Amino acid sequence: MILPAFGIVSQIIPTFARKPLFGYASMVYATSSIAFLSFIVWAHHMFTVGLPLQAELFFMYATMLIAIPTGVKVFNWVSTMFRGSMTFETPMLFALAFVVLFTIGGFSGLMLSIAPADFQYHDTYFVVAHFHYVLVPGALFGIIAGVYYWLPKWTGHYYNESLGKFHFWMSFIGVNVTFFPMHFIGLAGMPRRIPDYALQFADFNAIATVGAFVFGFSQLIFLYLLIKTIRGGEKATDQVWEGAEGLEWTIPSPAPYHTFAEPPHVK
Amino acid sequence: MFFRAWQRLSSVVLGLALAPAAMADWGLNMPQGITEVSQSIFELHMLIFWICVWIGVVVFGVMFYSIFKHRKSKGAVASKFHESLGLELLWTAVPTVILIAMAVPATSVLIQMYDTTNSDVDIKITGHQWKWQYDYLGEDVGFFSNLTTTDDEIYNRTEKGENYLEEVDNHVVVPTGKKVRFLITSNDVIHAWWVPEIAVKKDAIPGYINESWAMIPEGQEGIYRGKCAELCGVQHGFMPIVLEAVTADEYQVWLDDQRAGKVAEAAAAQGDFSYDELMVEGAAVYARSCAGCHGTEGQGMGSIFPALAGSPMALNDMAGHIDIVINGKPGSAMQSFSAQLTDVEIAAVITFERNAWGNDTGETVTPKMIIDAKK
Amino acid sequence: MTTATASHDDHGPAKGIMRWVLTTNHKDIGSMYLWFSFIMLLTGGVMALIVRAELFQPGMQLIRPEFYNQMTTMHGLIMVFGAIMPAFVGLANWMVPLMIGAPDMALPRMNNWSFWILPFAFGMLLFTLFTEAGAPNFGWTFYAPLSTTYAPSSVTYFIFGVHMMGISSIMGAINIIVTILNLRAPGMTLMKMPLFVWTWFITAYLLVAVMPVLAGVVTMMLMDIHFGTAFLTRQVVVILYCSNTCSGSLVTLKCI
Repeated sequence: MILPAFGIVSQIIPTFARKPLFGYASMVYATSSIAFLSFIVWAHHMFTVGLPLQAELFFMYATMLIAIPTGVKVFNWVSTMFRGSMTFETPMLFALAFVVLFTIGGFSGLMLSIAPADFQYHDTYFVVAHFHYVLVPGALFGIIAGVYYWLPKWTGHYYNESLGKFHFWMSFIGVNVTFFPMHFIGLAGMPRRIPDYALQFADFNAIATVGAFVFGFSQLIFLYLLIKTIRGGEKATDQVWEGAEGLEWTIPSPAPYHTFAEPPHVK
Repeated sequence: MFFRAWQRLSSVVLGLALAPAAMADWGLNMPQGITEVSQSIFELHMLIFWICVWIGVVVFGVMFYSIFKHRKSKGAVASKFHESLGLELLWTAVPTVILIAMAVPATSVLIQMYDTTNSDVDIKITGHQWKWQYDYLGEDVGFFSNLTTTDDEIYNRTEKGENYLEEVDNHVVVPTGKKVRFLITSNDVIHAWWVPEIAVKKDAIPGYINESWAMIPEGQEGIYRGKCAELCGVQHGFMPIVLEAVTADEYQVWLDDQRAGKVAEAAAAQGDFSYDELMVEGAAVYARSCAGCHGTEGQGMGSIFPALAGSPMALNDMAGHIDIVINGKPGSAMQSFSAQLTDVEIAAVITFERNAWGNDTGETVTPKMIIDAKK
Repeated sequence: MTTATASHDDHGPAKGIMRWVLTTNHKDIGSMYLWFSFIMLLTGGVMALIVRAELFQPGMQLIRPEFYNQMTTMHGLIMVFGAIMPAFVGLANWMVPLMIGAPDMALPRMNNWSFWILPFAFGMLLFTLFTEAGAPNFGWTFYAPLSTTYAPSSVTYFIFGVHMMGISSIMGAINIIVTILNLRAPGMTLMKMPLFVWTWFITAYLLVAVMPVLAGVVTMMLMDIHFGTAFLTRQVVVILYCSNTCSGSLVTLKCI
C-alpha cells in the first residue's frame, strides 16, 4: 500500500523541481518488480516461527532483493532534484520528508531482512519503529502531500501557505520524536504489544509519548486548514503550480462537476 | 502520580540537553551478548548499520546539496536531462554487489544458528498463558516459572523493585561450557521465548516443537533476563524469563537439590495441615497463579474469565472444583494445574477460594484429598 | 456512458443528503473517501494516544492490560484498512480520471457501492468496543489460536467487518483497473501515463490477488469458531495460516 505514495511523490517532485522526472521507464519497472517481489517475501514476518533453513534463506534473499528497486526509486527522485530549480511549498516539503524518512524506514527494513539479526529484532520496538517509519512518514506523508498538491484544484482556493508549513514542521518533529527513540528501545530489548515495561526503557518511552501528542494534535491544524480552504481563500489558477504538467492542470479550478466529456487529445 | 510524571518529563528534557553524556547508560544499541552466535549477530548488525549509514550519507548528501544549491530563490535554472542508461544501470548494479556482500556472512551465521546437533543438555520449554514451564529431559527435573513482581508494584501502590517485571520465582538454570538445546513448544497460544544476551528467540507454537541452542562460555556465569516476544493474551507483558548460567559442577548440585526437593514435597503432602495454614499458603498461591485471570478479589475478568467470588462451583460443588483445578477445562483458557502446583498448593488454593471474598463455606480441602482425586 | 451523453449541459450535483448517498460522480465519491479516511485517522489516532499515554511511565496508570490490547489491535486495523487504504482510493477516484482524460470511473455505480460499504464495515468493527466482551484484542495479525479459541466473542463482528472491507477493496481495485485500461484519452499510451496512475494500476492488481486470501483466512477463523472445523488448529495449518495472514494483510498492504 506504499506504492501509490511513490506515485504521488513522483508527481510532486518534478513539479517543484521544474524538471521532468528522472528515469520514468525505470520507475515503472521498479514499481512492477516491487509488486512481484512482494508476493514471494511474505515469510519475512515469520523468521522465528521455525522455518526450515532453506526456506529461511530463500525468504531472506528475496526480501533483500526488494532493496534494489526501492533504491532505484530513491536515486531517481534525488536525480530529479539535482540541477533543478526548486521551491519549497508545503506539498514539496512533505514529499522531501517522505524521501528522507521513508528511506530511513527502508534501511531498518533492510536490517530486518537479514534473518540472523532478525532473531534479535523480531517483535521488538525496532519493528514498530520500522513500520511506522514506512507507514506514517511514508504512506501518510505521501497522502498529505497529495492533498496539499491537489487541494487548489479541488476547491479552487489556495490554502494558507504559512499554516501549511506550520503543520508540516509540527508533524515532522512529532513523527521523529515519536518513532526514532523506538529504534533504541527495540534494540535494547523491549518487546512490542506490552502494556507495561521494565524500568530501563522508561526514558525513551516518555519521549515517544510526548512526540505522539505533538504529532496527534498537529493534525488538528490540518483539519482547520482544510475547512478554511474549502470555505474560501486566494483564487487558484487553472495551472495552480508553476511547474505542474499533466491533463489535470488543463481543466478549470475548482474542477467542474463533469470533466472531459469530450476526450482530450494527448500528443 | 502526576508529580512523578512531571519529574520524569523534566529529567527527560534535561537528559536531552545533556546528551550524549546522559545517553551512555540509556541502552541505545543491541546487546553484544555472551555467546559466539550472539556476538556474530551483533557484528552482522553493526556491519549492516554502517553500510546503511554510508549509503544514507551519500544519497542525502546529494539531495541536500541540490536543496541548498539548486533552488529557484538562488536563481537556479532547471536543466532538462531526464534519463541516463549508464547511471541507472550503475545504481542497480552497485546495490546488488553490496547485498551479496551482506548475504554471505548472514548465511553463514544462519547456518550456525540452525545446527542444533550434539547437544549436552536438552531443556523442553513450554509456554502457558502466562508462565513458562521447563523440563530437563532425562534428568527428572521440571518446574514452572512465574512472575514475582507484585500487583502493588504494577499498579503503583509501592515502589517498583530493581528488576521490575524481569523477575521470576524459579530461574531456568543452565551450565556454562556445554551446548544446551532448547525444545520450544506451547500449551495454548503462540508465545515466543527470547533471551537477548544469548540471541535465542523462537516461537512457541502449540502442537509443534521448535529447536534452538546456546553455548554460554565458561567464565560468563550470571543472570540473564528475557521476555515473551509474541502477543499471547492479556498478560503477555508479564511472563519474563530469567536464565541463570552456572558452572557445570554447580549445575549438577542444583539438579540433585531439585530432585531432593521433589521427594520432600511428596512426603509433606502426606502430613496434616490446619485450616489456617492452608489459607495462608492458598492466598499466596492464588496471587501467583490464579489472580492473573480471575482477578485479585476473585471478581473475574470480562466474559472469558469467570468470577470465583459467589460462583456456584466454589460454593457448592467441591468435587467439580478440585477436578477443574487438577485437570483444567479443555477448549478454554483454564489450564491443568496438576503438574504446575504441588498437592499441598492445590489443596491450599482450593481451600482459599472456597473461603475468601465472602465464599464462607468453612470447608477445608486437604492435600490427601488431592492425592485421592488424582488417582 | 451516461455521463458522456448527459454532457449537453454542465449540470451540477443534486441537492441535499441524497446527493452523497446516490452519487456516481468520481469527484464526490473521492471526496467522501478522503473525509472518511480522515475521520478514521483521527479515531485511530486517539487510540494511539491512549496507548502512548499508558506507556508514558512504567506501571499501569490509565487503563487495564485487556483494554490496552484492544486499543493496539483496533489502532492497527483502523489505520491500515480505514485510514491509509481509503485515502489512497479517494485520491485515485479524484485524480485517475483527471490524469488520463476520462469523464468518470468506468463503473460509476459500483464505485458508489464500494464506498458505502465502508462506513458499515467500520461501524461494525467499532461497535465491538461497546460489547461486553470488548473489541478484538489479538493484534492486527490475528494469529490463531489466540484469535479463535481464546478470542472474545466479538471476533465474529471483526470477521464480517474484514469481509466487507475486502469486498469494498476488490470492487475499488477492479474499477481502477478497468478505468485505466479502457478510458484513457486518445494518445495516452501506457508509457505516457503519470506515475501516480501507474503505481495505482499495479497496486490494484495486488489488491485483487491478495484480498481473497485474506478473506479466506478470516473465513477459516469463522468456521473454526462457530462450526467446529479445525483449519487453524493442526500444526501444519498454523504455519500455512500465518503465511496467509502475512501475505494477505501485511505484505501487500505495505508492499515492502
